[in-house]
Amino acid sequence: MASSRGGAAQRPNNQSQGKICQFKLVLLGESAVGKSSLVLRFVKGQFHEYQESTIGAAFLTQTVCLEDTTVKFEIWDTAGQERYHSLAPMYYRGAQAAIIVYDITNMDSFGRAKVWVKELQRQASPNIVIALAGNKADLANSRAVECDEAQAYADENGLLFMETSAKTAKNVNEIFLAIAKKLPKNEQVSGAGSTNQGRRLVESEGNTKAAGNCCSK
Amino acid sequence: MPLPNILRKASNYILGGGQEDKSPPFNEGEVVFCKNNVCVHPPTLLRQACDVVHHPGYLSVSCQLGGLQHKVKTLHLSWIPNSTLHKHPSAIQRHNFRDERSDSLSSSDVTLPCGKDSCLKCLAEERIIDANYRTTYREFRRRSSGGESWESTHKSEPPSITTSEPPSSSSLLERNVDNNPTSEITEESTSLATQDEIVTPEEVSDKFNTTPSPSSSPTHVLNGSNAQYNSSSDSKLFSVQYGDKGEDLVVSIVEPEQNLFSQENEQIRQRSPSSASSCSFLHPSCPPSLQASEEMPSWLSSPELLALRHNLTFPDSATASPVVRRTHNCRRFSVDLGQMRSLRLFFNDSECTSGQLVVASRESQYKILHFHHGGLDHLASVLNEWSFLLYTPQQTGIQEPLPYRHFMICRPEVGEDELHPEEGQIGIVDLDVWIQVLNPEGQIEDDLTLRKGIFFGGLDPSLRTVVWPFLLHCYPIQSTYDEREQLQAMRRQEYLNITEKRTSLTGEEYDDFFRNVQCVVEKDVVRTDRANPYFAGPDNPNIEVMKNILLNYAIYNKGAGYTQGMSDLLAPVLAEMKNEADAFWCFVGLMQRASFVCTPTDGDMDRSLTYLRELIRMMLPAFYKHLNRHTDAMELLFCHRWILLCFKREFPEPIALAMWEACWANYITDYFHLFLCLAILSVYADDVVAQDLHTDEMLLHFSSLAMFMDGHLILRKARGLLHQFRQMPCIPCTLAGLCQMCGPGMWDSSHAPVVECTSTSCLDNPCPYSATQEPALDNGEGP
Repeated sequence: MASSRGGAAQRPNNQSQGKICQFKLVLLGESAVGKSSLVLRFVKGQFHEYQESTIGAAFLTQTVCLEDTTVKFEIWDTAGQERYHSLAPMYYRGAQAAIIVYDITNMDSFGRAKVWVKELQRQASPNIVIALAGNKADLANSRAVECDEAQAYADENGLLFMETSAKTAKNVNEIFLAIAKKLPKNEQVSGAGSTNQGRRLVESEGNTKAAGNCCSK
Repeated sequence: MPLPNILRKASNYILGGGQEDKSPPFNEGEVVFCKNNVCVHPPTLLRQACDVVHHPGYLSVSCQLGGLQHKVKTLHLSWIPNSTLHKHPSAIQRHNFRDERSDSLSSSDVTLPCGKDSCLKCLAEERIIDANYRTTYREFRRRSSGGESWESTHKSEPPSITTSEPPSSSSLLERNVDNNPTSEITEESTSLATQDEIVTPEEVSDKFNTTPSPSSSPTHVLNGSNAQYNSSSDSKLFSVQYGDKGEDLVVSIVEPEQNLFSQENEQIRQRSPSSASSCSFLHPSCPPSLQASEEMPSWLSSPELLALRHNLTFPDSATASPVVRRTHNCRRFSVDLGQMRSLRLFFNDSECTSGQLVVASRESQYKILHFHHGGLDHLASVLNEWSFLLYTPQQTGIQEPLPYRHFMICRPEVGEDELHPEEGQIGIVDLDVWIQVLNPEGQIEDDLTLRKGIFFGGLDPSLRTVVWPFLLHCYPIQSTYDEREQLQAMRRQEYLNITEKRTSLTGEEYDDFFRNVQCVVEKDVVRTDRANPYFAGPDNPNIEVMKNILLNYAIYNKGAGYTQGMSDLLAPVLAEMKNEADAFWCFVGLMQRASFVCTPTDGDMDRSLTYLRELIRMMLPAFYKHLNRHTDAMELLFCHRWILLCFKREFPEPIALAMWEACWANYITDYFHLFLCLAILSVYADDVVAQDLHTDEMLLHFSSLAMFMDGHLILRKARGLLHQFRQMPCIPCTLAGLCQMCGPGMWDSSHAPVVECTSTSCLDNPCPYSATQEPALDNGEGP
């Protein structure tokens, strides 16, 4: 298989590894902006030209290494179409991070992204780390959203911002890494309802669920 | 059921008796199980059973010290493809658990857990086998697909298991190589047809026994150093390993190894740039220097390696486009079972010897090892003992890392008593049946027979073009040939009118339509079913046809518009009907009749989910309890896609379409799709309960199962569940609608159940079924 991902191979269960943190991340944005493609690129290093539309939601995990910390993302990839919107709160409830994706060739999708930002600022966990991803950067010659404009919007709203391309892998890992860096990894994260808030997994902890909110040592 | 009980039950089933908690004293370094020619099937998009590619290999499980400070006994599983063994026979000895790229780690890097490793080998035999394997493979596939039991001829042969201490192991190895002259190899490889000419296990055993061995008893392998096992049952257990023509000699290899993962980490640290100043991705975004780790065991380097189960292959992932990938390189696979989330054994033969071992990591990466020729029962007994060993301390409250919490023996089979009584009695609806159904005018006189036939036996794919328009209410059942011809002409005209209406949209109307519908449709059609030959290739004109139908549908039914998922439902219909207008009208029928075509926010979806929750409550109480304990679990997120796309992305297309047809048949119920959901849950959700998966893990679990569940089994189970539901003497009022919506003549009045108000979950106020009144729910003749 051409792809690869973190996971078991990198499970740091020897003494030299530091702490492990686990975060819930949700991807939001209009349909066909490339949410699933970003996840697929990040998690498996793959890109499918004809990525199927997401129906309902998909859930994947990926691990990144950040100095002495291993950050495990639990990624919720959601369906983009407006009609699935009412399910969204269920997905972003308890999320510590969100990537709001728009398509740089589509102005409407940028408008939709702004709506998502507002909704998250209003309803998601107060400490949620939000990143804005202008995807399809490989199609820059049909650009409809200027990079500066998006950057300015991101700055105003305190968002991480990058233009990404799932197709060329540009900035895909970088945006996840930037999020990982920004996430609080030491103090217990207080959030809404989820049992897996930024939990630190104690080394050789057999059952991740049992760890609960354990960030004690 | 608590897991220990499940285990006990399962072990009783497999081992045929009460297993007491005698702890098997496995010693570190001891090989507890080994088996040749265990297959890995690379993920391929499977359209036919012959698409399965088999990669036979050699599997061994050994007891090692692992975990923290190497203090905990754990089991290591190692699988080496025969091709590797063939090319590098020494690999099995020198690099048993290590990747070849890790040669930079000198052998002194490998810590010996305690120097007490045994080594025993029939490596030469292994090589012969491997050499033969290719030539015999065709034969093997033919025979195994024929369902013949290869084991039978070897059942009585004694095992040939030998062990020796490390000092003698390498000499043993060489010696055995020497003991197998080339002529024998040639002879064996050229005379495969006759089993008599093949070296028997006894002979091999003799050879091996010439080497002094401290414990050459077969029981050693099964039962550690305590030879307590009843020898008769023992040999029975072992005999299954002497399968095909002596190929399945018990071969076991032990290699001193250090903790696998720390080794991997070591490699990573060596290869990655300094991690102190920069953060580095572990994978897959690794810098070039890390790309070498591609060569790590496939289990470790690949994402959710999803193989097959029940001969259904798995595309790259549940979310990936089903693009065929055939260039899969099966690499060695080595893993600390103690680090895994679960182990599952699926038996797929009636003797319970063959099947699949499914190893799932905590990240829900799956490795599936196929036991085509027995031996799985033996592995079951070994793992079973192991898990008993581990359960005992758990129950006495000792806090130890407990691998194998999730070891479970699964038999995804529907018991005879769970089947619908008419199961298997009704054959496929083929041309003969179809012709009999029609009278000379072309009217379907007995549509019940037709529906029942499709429901139980399925529909011959060649008849889809003809029969689907009836199932999708395009043509009335009673229509004659002539009437249908007229109807078709009218419909085609009407379709042209719709197209014209759409293309003449202007101004604001057009803008709205473009933004709300066309935009999304255009994005979706290019990514729908592109692996289907009918839509494959660049600039395929059928994609434009699909787009037109969807756009026209949004004009025809303004309320429905376009919802993602519609293209998925249309694609197979268009691919069968092949005519734009006809496909459109079938699609219209599909949208009207199907309660599963909707969005999660629509009433239909809510109703389906409400019914499903109630069905789960009544019929799968343990799973219902599990759902109750987890936040948001009752939203049943994991089955939204099942319902919305009617299992299209959960099963390969042929079986998914059989499910569509079974639903469209409207036989007994309009809600057969819910019974299919229920069937999936009843077959595959035991894992969820056993592992106590929370909401998102459940989603991951079930989406990982997509495309490798056994669709035929699910259909059988669903029919059985429907029957079981119909037999219930009383049903809650919450499910009254499930009965009332039944198609014509389907709810046999003799089975009309009493409906009772459940008050707590009842939504109606006042409930027509409250106060224990017994309204005769006599929907016998339907609406």
